[in-house]
Amino acid sequence: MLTTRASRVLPTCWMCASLDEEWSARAGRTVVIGVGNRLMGDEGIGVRVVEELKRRSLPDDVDVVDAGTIGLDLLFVLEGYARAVIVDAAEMGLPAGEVRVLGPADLAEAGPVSDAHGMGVAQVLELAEAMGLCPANVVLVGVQPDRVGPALDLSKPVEAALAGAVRCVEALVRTPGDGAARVPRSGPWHE
Amino acid sequence: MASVSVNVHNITRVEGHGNIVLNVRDGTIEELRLEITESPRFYEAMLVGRNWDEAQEISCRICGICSTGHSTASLRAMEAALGVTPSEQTVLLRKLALHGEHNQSHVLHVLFLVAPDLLGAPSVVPLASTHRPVIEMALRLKRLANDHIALVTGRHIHGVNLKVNGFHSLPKEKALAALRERLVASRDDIQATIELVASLKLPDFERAGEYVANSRADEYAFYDGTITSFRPLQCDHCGHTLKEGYREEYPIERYRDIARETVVKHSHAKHTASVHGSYAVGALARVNINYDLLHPAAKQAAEALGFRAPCMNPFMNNVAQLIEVVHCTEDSIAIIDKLLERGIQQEDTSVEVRAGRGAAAVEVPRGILFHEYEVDDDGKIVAANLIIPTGQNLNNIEHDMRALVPQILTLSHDEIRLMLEMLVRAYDPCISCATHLLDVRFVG
Repeated sequence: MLTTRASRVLPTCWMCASLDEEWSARAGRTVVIGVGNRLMGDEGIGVRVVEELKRRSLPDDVDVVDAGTIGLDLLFVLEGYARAVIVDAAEMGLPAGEVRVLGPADLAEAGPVSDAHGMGVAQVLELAEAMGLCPANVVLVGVQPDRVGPALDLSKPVEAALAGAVRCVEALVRTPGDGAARVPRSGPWHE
Repeated sequence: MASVSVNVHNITRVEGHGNIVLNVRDGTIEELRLEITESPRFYEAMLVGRNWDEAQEISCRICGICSTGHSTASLRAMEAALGVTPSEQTVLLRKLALHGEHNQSHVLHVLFLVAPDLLGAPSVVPLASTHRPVIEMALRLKRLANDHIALVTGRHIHGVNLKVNGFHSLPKEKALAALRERLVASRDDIQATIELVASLKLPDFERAGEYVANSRADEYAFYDGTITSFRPLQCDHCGHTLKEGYREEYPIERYRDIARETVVKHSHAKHTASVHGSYAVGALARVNINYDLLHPAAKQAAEALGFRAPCMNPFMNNVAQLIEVVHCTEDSIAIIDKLLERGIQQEDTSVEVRAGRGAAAVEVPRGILFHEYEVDDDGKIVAANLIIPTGQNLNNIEHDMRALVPQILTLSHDEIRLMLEMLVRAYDPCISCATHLLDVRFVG
């Protein structure tokens, strides 16, 4: 069973803390958010990456959240943080298992979206920005899936990419400051 | 006579992939389909071979919106299979969590997905500038509903506290009292939402059909009840819908008699029909069937919103959802009072595993959800069957479209297209609940 844990101990009901407490607790911190459906094969890569990260020692100012098939609620998960790293499967037209660091501008605009309740990551980030709730620095780590369909396991190329995606996120969260200018955009991940 | 061709590829603001195909020649519908292009569901196959205590953990991942509903249906079906009767405290807490889920889903649907249609915007994002107070209010209500679910289940999505015959971890009384205060304080925002929705014009369209929902004699049924079908009578002279109608009840053991599944060529999702044909599930079905048991404040809201049960206008499903937000908020306050009065107790949650078969019907935001499991002597799942609300509504949406199209043929092509999309969205369909891929466009 999954629990939302981080490199520092979060209260069981992190959503229940009052907004002031929540925001002051988040100020200046980084959140890594794994998005996806673990029941849909490679679509669950984001969740698998954060499960792995939770077993590792990360800097004290980093929280890790397994957000699952989140839609609009992504906004509540990232608001108040200085930096958000969102990990998800991404259709990039690349060979399966390729890992890329992306910026919000790389996401196709919300047109026909297939995300939970019609609110895709791109649209939620746009709404968060319009409402002044978006972290100053948002980066996405996309992993090109091979097989998206009902399955509890990852395809071979994506399973092989898991460790690299984890190291990619680790490298990103260890980037000092807000990292906005230092994070590679839309480029391939080289270790 | 009008000839129209509409092809909506991927309806926006619904979950999953859905296409609408409409061809009308000389005023006659030649082709009308709601195509579902999402993968068929294989969740049953995933559940088979797993242990009895894993069913909820897997089920809660099926949907991000109805996560608590799938958990509840899964737990109740497994308890029925194992012959377990959960305590009063467990049932109260599960009902409280389910109310939170209905509120968060309904607020999301009415204020983030339907409001753009009614306020003339392509999506919710432009409303952040043009109707900022509305979006701020919507975010407050959504945040409260998320916190509400998280208090009971441990997380606002894919809860970790729920288990067969009880809870892994119980909420603190102080936290319940704090939630109660916030629920009371949310009445102002809910009232403002009612006033907003009452001021907006919904399409005027009626089709008398069949409605299916859980019902109970003593309360507005979400958590459990008897499967109930209602078909209203219409006046022979003027066609006016009467309050009276045919009411049939089915015990849970006969759920397959109401949700009879068939495969259709143009949809990967199965269609369902009762012996009378297509039927609707969801907030409108529940309010139509259980109106008398709504909280008085919810009935007041219904009057303010011009809702009269039984209501045959599918677009009014949005209004029914708002009526349920009032009911769920008031009933949550009452449940918390009851829990605080009796005190939160640590309880024995042990389970004796045995072979058995059990089914459960739970009202989740989009309608009645069925889970059924069979386990062997070791508690291993040997059979599973899940019937989701949207699967049950698809057939009915197509029938609504067939009735609606002849009434709107004088409208422009774009208006017809918008009206059909709005009709699909009114049902709040969850066509996939499953895939969530980022779509990336590399620039330069």
